[in-house]
Amino acid sequence: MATGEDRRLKGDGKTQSGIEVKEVYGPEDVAGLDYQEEIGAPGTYPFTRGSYPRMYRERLWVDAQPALGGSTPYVSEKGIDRERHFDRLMTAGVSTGGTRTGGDMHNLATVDPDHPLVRYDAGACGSISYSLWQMLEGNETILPKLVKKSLDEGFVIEFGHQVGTADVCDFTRYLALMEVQGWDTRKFRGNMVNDPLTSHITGSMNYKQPLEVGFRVSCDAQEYAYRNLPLYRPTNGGCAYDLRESGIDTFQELAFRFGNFIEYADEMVRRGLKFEDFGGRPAMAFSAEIDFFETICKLRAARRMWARIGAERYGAEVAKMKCPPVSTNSAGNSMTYQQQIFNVVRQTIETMASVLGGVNGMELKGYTEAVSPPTTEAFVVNAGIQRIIAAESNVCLTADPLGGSYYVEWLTDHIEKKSMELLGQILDKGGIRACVRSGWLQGEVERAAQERARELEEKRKIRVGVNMYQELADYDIPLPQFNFTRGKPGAPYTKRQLKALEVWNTFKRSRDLEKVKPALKRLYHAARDGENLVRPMVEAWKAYASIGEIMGVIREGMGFSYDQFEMVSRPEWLAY
Amino acid sequence: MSTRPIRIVLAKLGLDDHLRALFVLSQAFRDAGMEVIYLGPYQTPEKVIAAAETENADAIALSCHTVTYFGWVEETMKLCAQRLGPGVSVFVGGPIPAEDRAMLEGIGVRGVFFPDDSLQKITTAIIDAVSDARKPTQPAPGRAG
Repeated sequence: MATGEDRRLKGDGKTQSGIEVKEVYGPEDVAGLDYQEEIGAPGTYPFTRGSYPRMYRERLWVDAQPALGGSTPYVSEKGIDRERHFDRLMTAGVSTGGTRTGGDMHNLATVDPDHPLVRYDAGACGSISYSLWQMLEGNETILPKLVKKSLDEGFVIEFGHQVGTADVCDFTRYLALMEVQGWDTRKFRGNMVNDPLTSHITGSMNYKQPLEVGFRVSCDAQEYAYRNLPLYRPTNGGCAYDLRESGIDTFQELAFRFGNFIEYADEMVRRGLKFEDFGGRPAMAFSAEIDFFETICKLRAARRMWARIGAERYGAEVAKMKCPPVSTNSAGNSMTYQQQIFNVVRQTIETMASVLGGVNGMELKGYTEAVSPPTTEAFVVNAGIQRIIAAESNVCLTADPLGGSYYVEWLTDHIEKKSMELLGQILDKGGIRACVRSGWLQGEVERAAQERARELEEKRKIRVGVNMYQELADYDIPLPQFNFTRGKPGAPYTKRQLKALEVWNTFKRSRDLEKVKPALKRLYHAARDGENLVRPMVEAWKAYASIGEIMGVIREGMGFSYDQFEMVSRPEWLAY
Repeated sequence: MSTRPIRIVLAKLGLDDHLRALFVLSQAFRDAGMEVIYLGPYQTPEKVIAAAETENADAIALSCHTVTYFGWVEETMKLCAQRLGPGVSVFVGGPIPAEDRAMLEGIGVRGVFFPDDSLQKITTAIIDAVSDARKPTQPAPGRAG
């Protein structure tokens, strides 16, 4: 700190989630903790110290950068197509083990690109994806190559740009691709978020999709994958990252996440599966927040919560339990608009916290997150942060190096207990779906967002360059310039969007409606009659039905409107 | 000059559903004494203008979180000019490229707010601009934000 500066601690002296912290912790703070019962060796119940016995000696975390997702507006400006962009990332040493694909906003909403609510949003935040035709004959020819890489080399493909039904649309579209190509779907390795409940809790990512439709489609895909795809993780069991980004605290992040997990797990049990068969499949995905110890201890607490819920609620045999991998996304909301280069430091802290908390997968936001999805430069910086921590810092040499710290064990236990209490309250109210229907959860989220803003305005929480040390943000540190393609007066659509609409029209003209009709009719009956929807969805993709048609038909089959936005009707050529 | 509370429509256009700003702004507007007509996400320009008309609003606040925002705003401004006239002030905020401010003001947006603008600054600018618009003699366009 500079000379003459006020050297007192800043902020309210509590953790990010308001936990009161003592000046010093000692043996008395952890006296009630039994090592075997509460902590345990890494890779053994209750998995506090890690999912695997040897942790990073066994394998480092997966670096899954969203190479095909959010970057597209920037990429298109540079005149680079997605294929070349992906090649460039691979060459730069980014995304070597896996990637995340993401649809744009029409894809997330599961409507077609000519839907009247899409208009200028086509291509925003992802790729314009609506048909199997694009993969086989159109503009998405990179996707089959990635799938082949997954089948041959174990490359991990994640559908994770969306927390709702759009994931299952992608999942079934990829299955259709593999089947058409004659590839073995049992070798498909990857995961998807597939958590429509979070959309409803946070009011994001298409919460207009009826809850019943989202939950049914999600669970159908989960059940199908548990029964047929041994390497696939068909949900993360509750997208804690997206939950946390809404502004909630660490207890709510864990309680809501496990509340979602229990909704899905209960449904799988109702469908005849045993916890042992599926409980370890959903990879847990949390937010890596700027509060260093809270993040570390949250990850440790999360594994313990999973273990206890498995053993106590579902009667899983402790000795046979295998803890699923845990991943983090670095917190987008911690990335500041002011002096963005400082975000590299925030990313580093969050990455280090994730590693010390024992993550098995990570996705970093770009340091430019406040204005842009990650640019190629940001991806390279992200890869650098992770490689430096993995290869230079030596924190990976031993599992859970902070285990046994008085403070870390106390905080882990405190977070777990408080989160379990809140989870108990949610279950007493009838579970997450009941709390969504009553509006209680949405109210909690709204209040949390307002409180986060208030605590910054009142300087109870500090952001350097935002509400304190603003002079550091005033100094001009130039960054790579963005030149997004975007609408201009009198020309609201970009060339890329106009081209995409041409491609869409080509698709609609070139397909054979006589093949589409029976496939959609079949899907309608499956939706109406309560059958698992995965097979009829796969067949509808193969017949070149579009995403809007597939989800519209499912909605109608389940007794809802064809269009959740009430703006378009079922096509005239389609009858059931 | 009227002392009636400022009535402000708060909405997001199109498929952008980053809601956190809506929650924060609706509270901040209410704390500043405004009456908020909360439309939320998934709105069209037609719906926003119709709500402003029906509710006799003084202002419209559009929270924008995607690079595709401009077409939506331009369409809203055209409809606003046709249907509501200059008495209704439109404000736009979000992670908008700084160089877009002039373009937005050029199509009649009264205030453009960026992520480093405090809630205090935003509400004050809106109150000032609406007060200007309410004065009986037509003032020069305000440069809020």
